[in-house]
Amino acid sequence: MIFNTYWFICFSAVFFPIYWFLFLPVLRRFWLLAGCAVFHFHFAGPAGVLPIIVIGLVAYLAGLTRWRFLCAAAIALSVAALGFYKYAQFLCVDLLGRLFPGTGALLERQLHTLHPIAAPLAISFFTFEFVHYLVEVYRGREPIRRPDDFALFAIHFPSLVAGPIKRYQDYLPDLRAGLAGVTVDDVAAGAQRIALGLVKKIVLADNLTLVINFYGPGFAGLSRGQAWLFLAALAARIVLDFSGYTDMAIGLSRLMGIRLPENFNYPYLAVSLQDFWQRWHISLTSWIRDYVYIPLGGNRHGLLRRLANGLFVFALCGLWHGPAWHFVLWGLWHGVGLVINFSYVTLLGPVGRALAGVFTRLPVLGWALTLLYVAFGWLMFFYEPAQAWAMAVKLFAFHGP
Amino acid sequence: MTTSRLSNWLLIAGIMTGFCAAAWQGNLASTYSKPDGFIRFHQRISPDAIFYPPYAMLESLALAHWQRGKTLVIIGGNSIMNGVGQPKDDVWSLRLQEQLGDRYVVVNLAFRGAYPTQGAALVAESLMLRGYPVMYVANTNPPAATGRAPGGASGYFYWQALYQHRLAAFPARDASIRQWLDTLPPAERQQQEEERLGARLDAWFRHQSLWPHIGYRHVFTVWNFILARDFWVPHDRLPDTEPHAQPLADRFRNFLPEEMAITRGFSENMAVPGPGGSWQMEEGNRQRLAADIEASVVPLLRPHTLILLNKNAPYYLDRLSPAERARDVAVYAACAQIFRDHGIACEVAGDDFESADYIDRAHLSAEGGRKLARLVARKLKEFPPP
Repeated sequence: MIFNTYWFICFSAVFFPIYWFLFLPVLRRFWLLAGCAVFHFHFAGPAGVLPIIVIGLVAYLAGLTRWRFLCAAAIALSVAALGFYKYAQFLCVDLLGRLFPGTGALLERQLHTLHPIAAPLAISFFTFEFVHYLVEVYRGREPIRRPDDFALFAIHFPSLVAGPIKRYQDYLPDLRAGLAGVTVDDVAAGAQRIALGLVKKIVLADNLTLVINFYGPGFAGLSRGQAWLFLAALAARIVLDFSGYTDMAIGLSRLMGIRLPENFNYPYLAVSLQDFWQRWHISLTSWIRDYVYIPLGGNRHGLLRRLANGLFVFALCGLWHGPAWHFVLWGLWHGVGLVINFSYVTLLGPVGRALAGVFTRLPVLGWALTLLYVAFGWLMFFYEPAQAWAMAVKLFAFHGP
Repeated sequence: MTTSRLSNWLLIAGIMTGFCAAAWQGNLASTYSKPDGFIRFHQRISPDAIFYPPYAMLESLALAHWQRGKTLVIIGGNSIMNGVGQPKDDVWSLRLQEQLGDRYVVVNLAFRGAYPTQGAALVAESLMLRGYPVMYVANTNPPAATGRAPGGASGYFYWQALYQHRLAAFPARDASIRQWLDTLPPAERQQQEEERLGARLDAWFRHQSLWPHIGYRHVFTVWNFILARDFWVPHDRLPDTEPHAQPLADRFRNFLPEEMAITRGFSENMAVPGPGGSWQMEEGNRQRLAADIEASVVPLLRPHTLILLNKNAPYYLDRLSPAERARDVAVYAACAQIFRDHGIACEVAGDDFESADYIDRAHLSAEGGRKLARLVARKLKEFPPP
């Protein structure tokens, strides 16, 4: 975690006081840009910064021209870079290698000579923000003219590592407001949010991680009660970890008077899976909705097409989290859940309507089912499919300890 | 000013005051915080249980034991010197104190997995710099050699001691550490840089003294599998629960192939055959050990240091082939000689030990501890007064 490193503490101790005491917006803008560049360079290194500069420059220039062809080409470049850095190994070995072993082996050999050891830091977030920008310009929105505005949008350090995924049309007015003046209310709100994030992440999530890492390998030997507690710990850990990180990002940005979008809204209080995805990683969900789901047809073109689109985007959402089959399975698990969520009333007729009535009258039932469904999804998210299946079987087995 | 704005100002003032108060308390804790009734850093108050005693605590402990007119014997090194395998009333360092008598004061600052140049060695160096009469006893084995002050679970002591200005000027050590840092993979290097930066900040704010103090006296906040459900319990309530050794018939039963591989590894790549079926330490290893000593044991400390080369249990040594046994003996003797050549007293510990003196391949039982104490006491009494 970057925000609780000593380096970041020292960086913050220098960066924020100077930012607050630079009263001229132009100086603040320069200082923020310098801070973002130093942060990015420190954590990503030259090998991680260079590809982002190139892709960012292409996105910026393509946007400036407003030529739709160039915007489309820049989108393709961003997506290709993400594919190359993050998914090449997965595509060549796990996908092509299984379908065509000879070709897969050949590509794998080629890959080893070309591919860097690690993907540039936060390339997934960069790609999603660049694609968002270029699609909006493609659709006719005004591009970002000032290169420093674009650079700040791209490498705004609080959101650089784990989001939230920003929208430039929201970010730029907030940036200007922050540069124009930071109030004591901003600083106090930011500090409270950072404190909340630190408690969630360090006190709760990191401890749960230690518990999970210790008991996970011996899951088969746990009693039924312990196994369910383990599942609860797994579910609690990810929400505390991720939302804690987001709280810190939002809080750090608020210290500069810049508001970032919310990313979590008590997701485990959701009473349906649809509700869950409106509360969980909101900036990713809305990105996928706006730039994948709706362009694919969205809710239009009938129930079947809607269901197919839903499954596809959730498989993609899973893959975005990491280049492995268990992430795809996790995405599909949620996709299938949403398909059921959307369609059971129509497909089951009177029974479906009766069920919907029960869920309306007893929201706690929907809440419990949703939580259970989401928790089982986390098994797929964190473990290989065979292991996740064995864990799920143990949780529901009617025999054994 | 509105109420809300006033409360926000108060919040910020509170954060700043709280930070200053924490730094103040940390500075205070660094002067007095230490475990009660200290015998050793048992497992529950060690990095094994994610409890990281600060360097200042080690120095406080040593000074709390010392009395004017007496020689302070500081014990460093790894789990063997810590007394793993010996219940708290039978730790070998207690027996050493009895053997040495009233003119000496023994303090056991050894940690599991520590090298002879880590933790306790830095305390000995610091106190010697300030004129305290100190003798230092630590252990190692031929492949581990002297180790390096930073790195591993006990490496953070070095950075803390360095930035608290407790160490002697020792350019060879500085150069060796710089060179080592340059060769680390990026992730490990970043971890070391973090440890270093943390220690540099700690010299001012003493957060690394405050937090263990809170964990020891009030509440611990990090889960670990050793304490499991009791992880939050203030560590002053956690007794030293090192068990008595199993009956001899039950010892040495597990992992025989693995333990034999480790036993062989102590000399396997260290020596080459010499004339007449003898063994000689391989020249590269000889030079490496010599260079390690030159770059990691501060010259000031060498005349007052006793290094023990612990032998493996006879149960395993007896299962080596005659050639392997001869190689083992030759490597231990050669290593001891290299230490002596650099002005450091060195003894092979275990030549006359029996199976009953060990609880496993490496660790000593209470009986073994008593033998070790006798050996160390005899050697220390031969030292000139510091």
